[in-house]
Amino acid sequence: MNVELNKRLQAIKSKLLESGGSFRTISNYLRRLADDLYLINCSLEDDCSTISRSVSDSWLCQIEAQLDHNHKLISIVNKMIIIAEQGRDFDAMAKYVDRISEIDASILDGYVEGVSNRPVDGLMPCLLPTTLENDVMELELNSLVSPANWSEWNLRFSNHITIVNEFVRLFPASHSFASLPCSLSIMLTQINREIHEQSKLENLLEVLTSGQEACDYSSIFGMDVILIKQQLKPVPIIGDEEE
Amino acid sequence: MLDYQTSKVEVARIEKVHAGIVDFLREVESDFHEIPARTLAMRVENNILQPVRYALSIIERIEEIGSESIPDLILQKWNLAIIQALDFGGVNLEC
Repeated sequence: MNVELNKRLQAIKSKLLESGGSFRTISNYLRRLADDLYLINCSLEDDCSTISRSVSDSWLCQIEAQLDHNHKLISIVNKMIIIAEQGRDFDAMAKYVDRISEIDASILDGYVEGVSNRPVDGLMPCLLPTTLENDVMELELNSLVSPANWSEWNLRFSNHITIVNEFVRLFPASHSFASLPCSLSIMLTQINREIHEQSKLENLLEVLTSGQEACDYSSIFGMDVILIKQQLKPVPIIGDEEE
Repeated sequence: MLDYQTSKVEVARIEKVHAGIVDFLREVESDFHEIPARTLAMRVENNILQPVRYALSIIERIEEIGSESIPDLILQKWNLAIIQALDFGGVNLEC
């Protein structure tokens, strides 16, 4: 019986470790997102990016809490494995069984069919797809370089939206913080609309003031150029954060 | 949504008509009519030709860049300038 129990506990531990890794991936991603939102918020100075910073922070706190639960559960499973291996009295394990049985049931429910399972604190509702992990890693690498213009920021936020939308699918509606990625996705879409407008302003200004003799429109569109310059916000740069 | 191609044809026609009128007025040589004709030419140039030519330049820029690449605020302003050129630029001054 102890052999079977030990096998099951090892499987639970493996899923918990996997979940821990996934939570850390989300946590790292949210830190990158928070950095970008900070820069955009400083530049756009709009309500949407301010609120989205708050939502992203809330989600990060929730993920950190999940990581904390995850570490506790791994510690409990480790203790149970030791007790099982040593063949000690099962009465000593009784107080841990309730907590672990919930995890075990959730794993058996969800992971087998590859769908989101019953939400349990400390355990990811389902496996983090490899493509999503790669997308997050790519975005983290790209975050080392600050976008040079609004068009690049537009691209950066389109990637954020794609990733957050993938996270939305991972957490079932019954999950304690399922609404946070949904809200964040809506807000990021709104922010990206504003970034896209800034990108259009930037490109139009470039066209109207290109200064080439054959197509110098600055005299005809003088008032438009002034209006564009008034509407155009400074491109966020990483150096701003340190000020 | 404005049809820029149709608008361009109409605005170009308006520009041609009024440019002809301005040229005609500037060529008037008469002691009695010369000054009023030049004043009228200047007024047509400022009030009609300039906005019409501005509208024409706008349409050319929109065709060059694409309306989807122009910021909403500027596109609204430019559409209004084109509509005004179409509505008021075609006034028959002889009536």
